[in-house]
Amino acid sequence: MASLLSSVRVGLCANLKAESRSFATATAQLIVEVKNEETHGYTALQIGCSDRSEKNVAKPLLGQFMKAGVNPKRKLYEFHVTPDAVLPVGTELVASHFVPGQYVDCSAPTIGKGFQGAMKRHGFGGQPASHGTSVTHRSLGSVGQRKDPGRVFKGKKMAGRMGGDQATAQSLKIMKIDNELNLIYVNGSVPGVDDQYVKVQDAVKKRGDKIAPADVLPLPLPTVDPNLVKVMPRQLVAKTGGSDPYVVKE
Amino acid sequence: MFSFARNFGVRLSGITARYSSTAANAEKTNTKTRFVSLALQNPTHPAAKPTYTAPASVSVPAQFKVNTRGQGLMQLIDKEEIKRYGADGRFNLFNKSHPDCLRPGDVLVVETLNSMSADKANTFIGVLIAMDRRGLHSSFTVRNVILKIGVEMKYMLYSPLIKSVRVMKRGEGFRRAKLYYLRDNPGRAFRLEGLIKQEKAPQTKATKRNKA
Repeated sequence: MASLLSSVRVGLCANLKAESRSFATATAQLIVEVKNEETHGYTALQIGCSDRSEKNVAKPLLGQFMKAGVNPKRKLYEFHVTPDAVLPVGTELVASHFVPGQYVDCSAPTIGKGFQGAMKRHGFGGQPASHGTSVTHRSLGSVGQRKDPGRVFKGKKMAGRMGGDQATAQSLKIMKIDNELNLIYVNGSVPGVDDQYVKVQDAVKKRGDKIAPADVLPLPLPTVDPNLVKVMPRQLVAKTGGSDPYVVKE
Repeated sequence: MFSFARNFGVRLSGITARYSSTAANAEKTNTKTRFVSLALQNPTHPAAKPTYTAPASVSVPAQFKVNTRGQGLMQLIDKEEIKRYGADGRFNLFNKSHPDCLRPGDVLVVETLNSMSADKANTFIGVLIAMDRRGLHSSFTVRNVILKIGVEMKYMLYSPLIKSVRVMKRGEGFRRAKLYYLRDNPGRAFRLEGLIKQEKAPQTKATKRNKA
């Protein structure tokens, strides 16, 4: 499956590693149930997140949930999987699906910034603050050439609405997993605001053995055994540290 | 490395270690993987219950019981982490109801390690000019004038690199929470030579005893 779960980004918290460099982690609440789509030309799992009351769900969508026999959910995500990783409908996915030390990609819509000028939106340089510049300190400047081509190209970077687009933070390491609260602690920044849905997947750029430390591989293939989760301690932390490379060895 | 069928135009996202071939390999080395329960290995086993042993790359920290009563998730996480990192009593340095609480104007001796793998400790003596209460990343600023140069050190209270924080002298007559005015009007606040000598005196006496 390799895919992660839809999760809710709860917030940033400081954390202290063994080397005492604090990093911000975004914790996420996990998961919900699973649906199958095999007669659609591709194999995928549809995962829902966050319960929702029946009266607030559109009838067509409610029908889908009733057919699957699950509670209505707020957010649905699809994850493409190989056929052997398919789970039965109604399976609950938990935080232990991931392993501390694993790398993940987190996708979410970015924070909306509203209508922004070219300097903020595209990093343009603007014009000088003085020396005769009149009223155009932060403007675009030129948008093209002259009679040839005689038009402005499509996609010309200009002022406009910024933010609210999908962004993926790649190769973030999972530092900690909380089984009781179903949280993943991820090293680094996750796009979006708090209480927002984040799609978490196994890192695309870490293939094969690089996705997680060797003693943790193979990752739980369909998902983790629920009986094992009951036996697991509440929190599991990825080990960091070891010998400090900046310490001069005498 | 792994062979798998790519559907047309459909990106099989995130497929790295979780291929069917990996599952097949896992079955071959059944006894070595932790994720296969005893029930599957040996159904007739009386206590066929999976056991979890943390692998070498995963550490199991001190576990706390979850108590979400009266607080949100982030507050709970913050409190638990403070409990974990403040176990040696450094929480009391910022606890106003505790007699050991730091106050702005105190002269402190802070010992820090350069790294977790080295034992060498650096000592800094100075006046506490600011305490920032931010939960787990609470910090305090210590200032001293060394060789006519003002030096301020900001320490994260719950950092594992801080070895110890001791109060050499209690501050008197400071009526502010943040003593940033000492940067411009130090007065006699940074005349700490006498205290520094006291700090080093017992050490020299000890070395003399060792030599004799």
